[in-house]
Amino acid sequence: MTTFNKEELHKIAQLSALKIDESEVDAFVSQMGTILEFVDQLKQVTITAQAQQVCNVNVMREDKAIQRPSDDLLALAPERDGQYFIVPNILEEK
Amino acid sequence: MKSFMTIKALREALDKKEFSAAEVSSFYRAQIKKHNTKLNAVIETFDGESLADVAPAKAGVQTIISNFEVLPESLDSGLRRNDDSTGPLSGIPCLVKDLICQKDHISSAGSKILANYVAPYDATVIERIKAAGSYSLGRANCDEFAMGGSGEHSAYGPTCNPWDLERVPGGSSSGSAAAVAAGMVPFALGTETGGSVRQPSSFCNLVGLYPTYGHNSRYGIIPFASSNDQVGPITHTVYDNALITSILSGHDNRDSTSIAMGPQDYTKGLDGRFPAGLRIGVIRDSLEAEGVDSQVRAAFEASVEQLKKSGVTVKVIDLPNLKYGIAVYFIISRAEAASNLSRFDGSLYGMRAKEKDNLFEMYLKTRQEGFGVEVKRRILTGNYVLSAGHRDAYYTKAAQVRSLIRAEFTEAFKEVDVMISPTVSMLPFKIGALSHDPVAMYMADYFNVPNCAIGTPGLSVPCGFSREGLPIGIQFLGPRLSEALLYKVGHAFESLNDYHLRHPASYG
Repeated sequence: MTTFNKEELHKIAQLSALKIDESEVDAFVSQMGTILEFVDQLKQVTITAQAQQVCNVNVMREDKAIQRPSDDLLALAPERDGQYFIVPNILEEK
Repeated sequence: MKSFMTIKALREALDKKEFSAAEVSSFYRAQIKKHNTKLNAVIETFDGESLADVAPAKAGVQTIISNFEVLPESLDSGLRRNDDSTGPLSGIPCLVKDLICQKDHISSAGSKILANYVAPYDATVIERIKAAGSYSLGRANCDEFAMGGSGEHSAYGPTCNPWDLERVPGGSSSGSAAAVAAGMVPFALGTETGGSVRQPSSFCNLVGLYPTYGHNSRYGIIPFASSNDQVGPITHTVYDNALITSILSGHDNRDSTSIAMGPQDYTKGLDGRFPAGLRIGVIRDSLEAEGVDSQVRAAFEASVEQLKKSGVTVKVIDLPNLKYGIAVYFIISRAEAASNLSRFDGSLYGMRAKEKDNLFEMYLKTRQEGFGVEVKRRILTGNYVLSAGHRDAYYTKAAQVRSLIRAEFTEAFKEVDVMISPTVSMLPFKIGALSHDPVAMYMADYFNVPNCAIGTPGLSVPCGFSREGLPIGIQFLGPRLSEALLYKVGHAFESLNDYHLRHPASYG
């Protein structure tokens, strides 16, 4: 039986880059608990060797650059300086 | 002009010059204006973009298809029609789910986080319908990032079902279905990852297809679960649906999962007759599984009787692993959603929360403010099932059970040509009725999630009404690339009834 608690929620939220409001914590914990309990039914299924085969094939294409103007893409930047995107500091001072 | 015209009827009337393409455009624009305030099916209409003065089409579907044969690989050049050229959809407008990129228009995926995102290019499916002469009247509402089965999870408010304004139209292609049902447009494009075209089609008395995975290009579709996502048309009739799918089909080298197949014409051979010797399998769960609404079951059973009377061989098929379909779909789609949606962080495009100092804080705030609660729940579930210590128990196991379901379908299709079940196990429900209970909401997709998980096609066709007058749909499931057969069978079934000719009151 899966148990899902607040600590796990906070850990997964951090991994997901999601901030969860204190007021939402209980609802998320309870709903995710229900969902995980529901999918736990898969544990009953016996897996045969056949089911472990991977049937996907890789699709390759030529490694060729396509030239296109970038003005429309840059125009979508929340903040920019000419050809550069502006974001908050990436490297922090020690 | 009459209300609720099919594409076929519009084509004939336009060709006979009974009315002009300009009149068609004004008619549907007026319908949207008149009905959208109560339905909220359309997020934005594109005014002043009418191509209504295009010449009436001389060419049939074959012409547009032969164009694709000349240029199957690149739709970038040559296929944009000149003003004087024509196609099978010339002068016939549509609406497009907000998940599909339309060049120079906002494409927001029903989310706040992309509220200001202007698509720099057309999705391949948009190029193809434009090349066929159609034009988009706007963006249809949908559940945020296609995550939902009711249309209630849009950042732009819920969409109502034209058959009963208190009820959901289904989702996630909620606005696409509601708009066609209300006669705002003759057809719409939706997308489906696990029921999102067929379920709203069923709830709104329309025809909807989930094609074989890879049948239609995903280029320009904002992704949810990439191994399931497909574009599918929503129409009044099977013929119209076959026509649009034919136009959307064909290989696209910008989508590596696009099947290397030539263009198709699924309208051929739609003569209202079942193929000789057709064997149909009734999925046993349709008759026996708990949670299938009694009126849905009754309508379905009546359809089975009709099929038998038409000389079709019908037998019951056991799919013991079908019941795991929802859990499998659930895990895999959330895992892929969590990965796909990690790109939305406020850096390069879309919404950015006000945060000047700390990069990770900017991500957190942007995603907190930008995503709705259902999307957050799916990202969290997805990252949980992928996280260290849980991956094998959930993700790997789900992938293995998916293989079992695939094997089971493959075996079943040795015994029968097509399988049937109700499209949705329940009737269109009241807005808000299931929002407190995500698992109950997901159970609505019991029958239409398993084939999405394995990428095989399904066609939903109207098959009856409840006592309250709510639509009920039947779905035809086939093996990989059986679209031609599904359309033929669906068309023959449709010809037995007049359900597809009924429309909600007060939208005429």
